[in-house]
Amino acid sequence: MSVVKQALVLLMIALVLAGILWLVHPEGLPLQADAEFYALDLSAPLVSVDDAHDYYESGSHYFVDTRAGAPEGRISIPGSFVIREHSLADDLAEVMDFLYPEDPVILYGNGGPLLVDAVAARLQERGFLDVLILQGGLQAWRDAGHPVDGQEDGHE
Amino acid sequence: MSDHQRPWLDILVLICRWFVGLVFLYASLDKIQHPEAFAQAIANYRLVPMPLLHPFAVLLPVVEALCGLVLLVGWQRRGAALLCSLMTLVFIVAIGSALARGLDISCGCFHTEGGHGVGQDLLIRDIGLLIVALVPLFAPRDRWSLDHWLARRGH
Repeated sequence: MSVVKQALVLLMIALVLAGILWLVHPEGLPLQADAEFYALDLSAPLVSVDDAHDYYESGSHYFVDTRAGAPEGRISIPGSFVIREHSLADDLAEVMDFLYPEDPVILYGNGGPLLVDAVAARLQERGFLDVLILQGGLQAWRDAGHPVDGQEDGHE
Repeated sequence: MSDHQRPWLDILVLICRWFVGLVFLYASLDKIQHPEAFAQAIANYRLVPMPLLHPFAVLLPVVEALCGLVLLVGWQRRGAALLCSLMTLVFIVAIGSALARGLDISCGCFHTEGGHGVGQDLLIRDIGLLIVALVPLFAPRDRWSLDHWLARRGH
């Protein structure tokens, strides 16, 4: 049997064993992790969608889209800047004339806190003091019926 | 040189196989007993997407335990060594990534709580483990193994 086949056999056995363990473990984890539970260790505080919308209406905070990939044409919160973890230095250079470290910012992603938290940590390293993370990300924002824009690229 | 003239090779493969097997088996025990704490340890790396976090936290220790056990007895030796090598590679990338991002977190390697913090010494340790795991992966034979015994019985 080839090495890869052997590895696949072992993985299949492990999958079955893990499934059994999942079922019988008295403190079994739920299949879906609760993001808010793990958000306790986030670098920046969470802000609820409602509070974030109040900030949006008042114009007191800047919104930052942290989702990976090209921002053109995708749905986003109107007026968002784009700062992604994989191109953080380049993205920051693009917005440096409009966004300053003393500005309060609300970061959002697809809903999972991991990528957006990485951006939050790196912005804090660069001197951003008032950083918040939108709880539930863009999906929660849209679910609440708040405005989105699929055309604006976020840099204007 | 024939196989029988290189007994050191059998000894080397056996030592490396047992070493990697024991390390992975030991590493899995606390994680299997405390999946919730291990899930937190993984989450601290901020690399695994949230929907995959719990399945990963349950599956990874089982793969570690299974690979550890089969390496100890010498069954599916190369497949287990491949999985151990890949897992160690993932650990190296995760630790390197945490170091690059300046994360001050517990590594979650052997103990899910109060374990060793991520640092360069962990990177060096895991690179050493990877090198040892490559021996049973690429060794042409393994005479003192269940695989070898089964093959001989088959003939």
